Order: sequence, then C-alpha cells, then structure tokens
Amino acid sequence: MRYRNKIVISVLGLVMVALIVLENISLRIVFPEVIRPNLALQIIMGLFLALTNVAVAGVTITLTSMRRQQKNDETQSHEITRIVHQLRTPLTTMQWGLDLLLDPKTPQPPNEQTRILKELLERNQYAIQAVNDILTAARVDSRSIRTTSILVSAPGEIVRDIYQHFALAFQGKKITPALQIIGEPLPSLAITASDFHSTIENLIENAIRYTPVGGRVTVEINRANLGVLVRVSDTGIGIAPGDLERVGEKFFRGREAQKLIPTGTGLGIYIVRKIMHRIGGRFHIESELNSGTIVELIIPSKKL
Amino acid sequence: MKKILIIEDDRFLLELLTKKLSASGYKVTGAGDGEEGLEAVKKETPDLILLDLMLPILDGFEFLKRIRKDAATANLVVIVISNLGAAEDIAKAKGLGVMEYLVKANFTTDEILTKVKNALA
Repeated sequence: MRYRNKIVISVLGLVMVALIVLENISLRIVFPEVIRPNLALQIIMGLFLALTNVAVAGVTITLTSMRRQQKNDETQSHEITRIVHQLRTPLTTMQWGLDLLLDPKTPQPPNEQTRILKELLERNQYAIQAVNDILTAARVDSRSIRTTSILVSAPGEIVRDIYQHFALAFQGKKITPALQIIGEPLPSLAITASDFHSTIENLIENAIRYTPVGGRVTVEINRANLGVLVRVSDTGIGIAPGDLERVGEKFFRGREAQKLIPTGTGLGIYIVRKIMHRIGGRFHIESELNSGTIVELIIPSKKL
Repeated sequence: MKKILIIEDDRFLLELLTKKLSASGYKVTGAGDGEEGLEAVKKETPDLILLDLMLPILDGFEFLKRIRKDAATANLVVIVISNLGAAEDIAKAKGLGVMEYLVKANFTTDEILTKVKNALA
C-alpha cells in the first residue's frame, strides 16, 4: 500500500507540475496582449479553465481514494490530505478568476483584466512552488540517514549564486540585502548539492516573504568549529513565542505568517530541519514579534 | 436589495465573489476574519452569510457558535464555503445550523450564485 501511495503521489505530482507549468507559460504569452477581449484570449483562457478543471478533478479523485485508504494508513493519508488541500486553494482561485473573466455578465475593464490575470499568475506561481516543496519534502522524507557521501565544495560561491538569483525579489520589495562571506576558501561540506540549494533557498525565500517592504535581509557565511555557519537574518514580522517552538513541524505555519500571507505550505523550515538532522548539522532559530527572525545553521564539513 | 455578508480571509477570492454577486444585484459586504464578521453582523443584519471556515483570529466554527448564542443573530442564514471537505467538518458545521456546505473547489461561481439565489428566494 505504501508503494501504491508513493506511485500515486508521484504521478499526481508530475501531472500537476505539467498542467501548472503549461498554464503558467500560456498566461505569460497572453499577458502583454491583454488590452481588450479577443478571440485568441478567450480560447486560451477557456483552455486554462479546462486545465484547471482537470487539476481540480485530479485533486478531488485523489482525496476520495486516499480517504478510502485511511483505515490502512491513518497518518500517511492524513498527510496526503493536507498536501492536496494545499493545492486546492490556488486551483480554486484560478477557476473562479477565469470564470469571472469569461462571464459576459461580469465584464471587466482592460486594466481590471490585467490586474486579475496578474493575481492569477501569482497564484499559479504559488501552486508551482507548493508542488516543488511537496516533492522536496517527499524526497527528504524518503531517504535514509546515511546516504550523504556526496560533498559540496566551495559553498561560498554557491551561496553567492543563489543570493544573486534573488536580486529581483529583493528589488521588488525594496529590501536592502547584504551578503557577507568570511573565511574563504571555505571547507567542502557533507551535504548534497540539491539539499544545500534547498536549504539556502528556503531560508532566503522565507526572509523575503515575511519581511515588509523596505526591510533588511542579511546572509552571512563563516567558518565554524565543525564546518560552516550560515546565518540568515531579517527585519520581518517575526514569530510569536508560542509559535516559535512549533516552527519546523510539518505543515505548521505561525499565526502572524498566515495573517500576512494566507497561502503557504508550511514545509520550508521543515525541509531545512530535516536536512540538518540527517547530515548531523545544527539548526537554531530566534525571533521577536514585529522585529525580525534569525536562523542559524551549522553545516558539517567533510570528515577527514 | 438583499444584503450578503462574505467572510473570507483570501481577499482575492473575496473580491471575485463580491464582483460576481454584485453583478446579480446583491448588496455585498466583506469581512476578512471571524471577528470582523461579528462586527459586520452587529452593524447591519445581512440576509445571508457566506462563511469560510479557516480564518485568522476567530475561525468560522467559532463565528457560528457566537452568532447562534446571541438571540439577535441566532437565526441568520449561513452557507459555508470552504476547502475543508472532511465528513467531521461538515457534520460540525451542520450541527451549528448552516443551510448548505459547499466545498469551494467543487463549485463554480455560477453554481454558488444559484445556491445564493435559492437560499434567498
């Protein structure tokens, strides 16, 4: 049954990714053209609606079949239910938004059309992010503890690269970013490249997401006793003391985070903690409400 | 003009529903959480409430409990629109006297409009 579950999730995941990516590409194509309703636009939007419906149907069928299996594997099924719920919300939004745009009874002026499409594009991007997070979480969950024999060399350069990918995101929120890499050349680290990427990306993404416009995000890398210290700090909304203990639980999202951004998988820090646990690294989080959050990791270096 | 109160924390979904229902001649007001919903109900009694369940500050179940306790609001007509679809959630909401329980993903905005029309007929 576990195997069948995994296969179902993988297939569902891939179908979702394909559908969502296709929608995303199409939305990007029509976007510059949205000035007034025209036939091509109607056809493309009709197509999205069809795609969205297929995705919603897929989610519903999976939910139903998973519920049937609940007796066999309560916990796993509960998790799958949570995951599928994560996708239901953005898919519903896309369906309702496209419904509205296609309905002759609710004509929208061109600038409204553009604004609604922009919002739908954002929801779609969130759906892609959610699918990615879910697949990453499944990957870190399924591997055994002793698998890491691959090493990451020159971690400083990789962090520099990742940091640069976020340039637009920083700009978009007028965030003052800072990157400090001390002690190069840094030692090779006992972590796979994909885990290292997931870890750093998750921390920077969170910092940007939960920091209001005009704030600061600082990324520091330094040598540590056992490897390398990574510290990401922000001047964001912070986490309430009661919630702080629960950050990193699978699917958990703090109250403040939910208030600021209703959508989120609650998997980011879970993934980071899980990876740190597996490689024997350290995870530490400090936060103060309305003032900011600091996450510190120690990633162990290659053992000689 | 019939008055509808929508309590939904996703402001975009709220906006889409508001546009849809306003176009059919309803007077629509929105609230972003249960507490705002309670305030809105006290200010002006709606003919119908569309209620999401997962809400910040005060969730939909709690909102229902509170309005049912107050004689002035105990009989308000409520339709739940939520993406929670488990049998126990549905039973819990029905136990709190909701007229209909709609799982968002299974309904188009047209179908929701029809449900609203029927409820207010």
